[in-house]
Amino acid sequence: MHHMNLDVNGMSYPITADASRNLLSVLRNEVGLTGTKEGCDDCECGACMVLLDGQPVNSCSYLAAQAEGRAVTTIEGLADGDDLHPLQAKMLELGGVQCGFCTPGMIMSAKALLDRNPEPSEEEIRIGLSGNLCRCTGYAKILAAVGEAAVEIR
Amino acid sequence: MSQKTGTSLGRVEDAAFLTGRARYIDDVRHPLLDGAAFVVFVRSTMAHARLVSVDASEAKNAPGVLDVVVGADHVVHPAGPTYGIPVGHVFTQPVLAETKVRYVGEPIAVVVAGTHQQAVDAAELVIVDLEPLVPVMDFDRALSDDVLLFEPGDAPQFQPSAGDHSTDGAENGNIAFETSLTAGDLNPDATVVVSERVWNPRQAPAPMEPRGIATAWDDAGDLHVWAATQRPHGFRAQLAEFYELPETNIHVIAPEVGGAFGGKVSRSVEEHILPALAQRVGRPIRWTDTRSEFLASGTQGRAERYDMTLHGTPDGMIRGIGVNLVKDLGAYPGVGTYLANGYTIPMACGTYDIGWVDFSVTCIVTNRITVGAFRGAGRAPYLAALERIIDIYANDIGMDPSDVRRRNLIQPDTMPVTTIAGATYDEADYPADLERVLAEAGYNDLRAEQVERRASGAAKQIGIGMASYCHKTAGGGGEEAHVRVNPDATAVVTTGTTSQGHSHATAWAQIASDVLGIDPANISVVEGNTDAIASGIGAVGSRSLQTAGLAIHNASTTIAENAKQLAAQLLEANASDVVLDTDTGSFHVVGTPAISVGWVDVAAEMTASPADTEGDELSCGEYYNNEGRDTYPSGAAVAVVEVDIETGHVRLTRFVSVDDAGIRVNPMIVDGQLHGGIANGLAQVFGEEVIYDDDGNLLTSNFMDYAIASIDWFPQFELHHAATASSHNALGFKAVGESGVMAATPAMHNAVVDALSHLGVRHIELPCTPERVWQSIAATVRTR
Ligand code: FES
Ligand code: FES
Repeated sequence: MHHMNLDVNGMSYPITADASRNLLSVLRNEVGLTGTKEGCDDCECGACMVLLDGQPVNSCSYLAAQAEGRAVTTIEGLADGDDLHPLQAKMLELGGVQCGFCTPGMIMSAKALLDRNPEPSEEEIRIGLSGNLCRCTGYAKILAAVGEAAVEIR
Repeated sequence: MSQKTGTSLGRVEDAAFLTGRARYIDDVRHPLLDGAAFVVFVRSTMAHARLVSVDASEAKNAPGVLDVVVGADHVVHPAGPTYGIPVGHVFTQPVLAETKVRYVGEPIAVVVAGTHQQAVDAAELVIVDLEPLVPVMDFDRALSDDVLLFEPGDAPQFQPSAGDHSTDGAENGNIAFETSLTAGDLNPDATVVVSERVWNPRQAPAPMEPRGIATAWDDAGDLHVWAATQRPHGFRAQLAEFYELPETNIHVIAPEVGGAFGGKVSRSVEEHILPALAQRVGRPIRWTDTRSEFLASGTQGRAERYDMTLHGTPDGMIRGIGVNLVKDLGAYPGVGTYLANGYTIPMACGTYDIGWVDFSVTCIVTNRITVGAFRGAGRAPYLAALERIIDIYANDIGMDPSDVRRRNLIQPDTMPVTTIAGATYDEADYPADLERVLAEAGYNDLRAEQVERRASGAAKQIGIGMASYCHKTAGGGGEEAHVRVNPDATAVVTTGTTSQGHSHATAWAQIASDVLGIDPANISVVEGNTDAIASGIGAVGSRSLQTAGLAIHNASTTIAENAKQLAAQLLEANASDVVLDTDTGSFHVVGTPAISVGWVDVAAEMTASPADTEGDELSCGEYYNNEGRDTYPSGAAVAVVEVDIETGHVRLTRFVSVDDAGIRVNPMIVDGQLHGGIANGLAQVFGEEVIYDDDGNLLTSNFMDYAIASIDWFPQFELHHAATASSHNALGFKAVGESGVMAATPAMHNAVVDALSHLGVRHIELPCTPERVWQSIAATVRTR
């Protein structure tokens, strides 16, 4: 068993877990934040995307122990109280959510993209989100929402 | 507050999804589930084999193991569910294989342990001895009956529900079901006969959330089930039968479900055994399958082989269609048999005025996963084959494919129309949709560009493809809805059909709002709970809006009328003089809007004067039955591709469509449904395909090998709309959930072939992978 302190969305969580546990499972089961999803457990779908010091990582394939001492941001940490982040607000306004299962990972990838590239071209958005699979939307409205959110954030 | 139907309202359910608060099966926390044990299935590694022995002794003693069960233990009925609606000759799947295994991934044993990891470790200790049999993978081999999947005495004896359950598997060899229709007369002027074999490859529904279930028994002996299912009531009914319990003692909840697309319709053997295991170990049990497990054991779709023959005149009049369909239903047939008569044959004419059809369907078993439902099931594969043979015909008689379609489309002034295949299409204007999509695409300019490219001999050639569609939805039957207005002027809508991304919460609120004048934000929707409403069929076959939508409207209307009676008492007027202003949600006497009462007043009046009221005027349940008046959403699409004739690489450059979903409640939601369906349909051309090798090993068991579309596959879709009200229901609704698929596959498929037609390419099998495209080009070069 491994003792660690995880900094998630600005809060510190003391955790005791097997050293082999991945970050996704620890976030969901020990920290209790279930917004991050598992779609494949194999680095293929992006549903488990979180930010580590601002960088997007597939938490299914990342050891929780390695996240110690780094700032973890999950979907639960994006809105400011009841105020949605512009990415969330645009997804709502433009209809980017259907079943919602890919949504948390999609938004975290988009956040990482806009943080490093505030004025992405359509092509750059496509590249930035190409690791996030969605079976419901055909991506059209997600693409539009991220594009408009970028404009709003600037 | 203005009319809500027709408004692209942002979804009322979205805040939870966007902030990570939405609860899916794996997120469900409930006291009954505290201390849940986990299960792992031991699955067949062979496609077809005799099960000689299973030795679980070591696994039973492994750390943390609570139980290991094999087929011979008979912990539940020896035979499992039938994967849907049984028709004809049904071969049911044993819950755990006992004598034979018939697909790679078939459950043989199940391990129950305190943690998931303990179950995984112990499952590896189960020793399974399989003696290989010849796998039946090839369609013709299956039809030849030289190897049978079900031999005399093989079939389980359990007969779970109505239908013709032949228990002797050998009776019809590998044929599970056969049906046919011949209708009309073939005009003797049909001197051109064009034939082609068109495959529709196997696909996996592959929602982003896999299957999952959590189950517990309470102290009173009631069974509680949380499941990622499209059909909570259907699941309850099957559990009741399976466990011989009254339905009232079973409580099924579908929490948020992360997509389904038909993959969560059928109740799998895995899901059926869990309550029995929970009973045995005296603990709640949870199971969520992994992605590879889902891809290797969840039901799949498509897998159809069409031998198409078109009879036409030399000048482009289609006179008849001959179809010989062989459907691979996998090892344990289910809903696929029902689809043949219920959905496929009725679509024989597509959108065309055709005088003769000769349609036969043969459903076979092979050593693959069961074929169940998948977005567009029973219709999309046939329409793809029909649109393909029409293009081949156009090519053969030297006519533009748009002209052939123009000459044969059903004319709007004849609608509603009953085709010779027996389907009654509701109102639409197929010719107008085709003309519009051709105009929006700039069809003539595209053809001119194609001529130029061909003349230039460029490596990148363009292809233009089109398709027209209509498709049967709802499939009869109805749905129940319950509406209640609360004392605080909020309202609750409860339905038996449930959403897996279909946006019911918003659409239902919009429909109720238009009648009640209550803001959609103040209308909550309850779904996916068998305790909340007595019945429900579910979101399958694009059917919720034109069934539950009507029930919600009718229940709301009853409440509004009741409320006018109550308002009349307050306003001291005749009820017939009272109107409900749906802009403000207030009641007043006609002509004097200044004096009004609201829902709060009306509700207070209902409870305040029990002598004068029933007390339940603001609550109403309705069942809406469409009585067979199905709706047929329709449209047309144009796809433009660029094919590199040196590499076979295909790039989709444009996708333009006109879709007629009838009256749209929320155009934004409709667009989203279309986008998703189009992506599914196009992916089948790009390369999405379930692949088995000749030994029956599944080669596509993860998202690396099973390629669903990612965000960089497509250009922006160009959507246009028609909105012809259907006369088949009072609100003019049709449907949209599966529509996008219908034209997408054949339009792009036709475009790929069209890009190469000048080289002599006549047909390419789906999916049009670079290798396959390149080979078909090479083949024409060789023959030239
Ligand atoms: S769950 Fe991590 S990438 Fe799919
Ligand atoms: S919204 Fe369902 S997977 Fe993206």
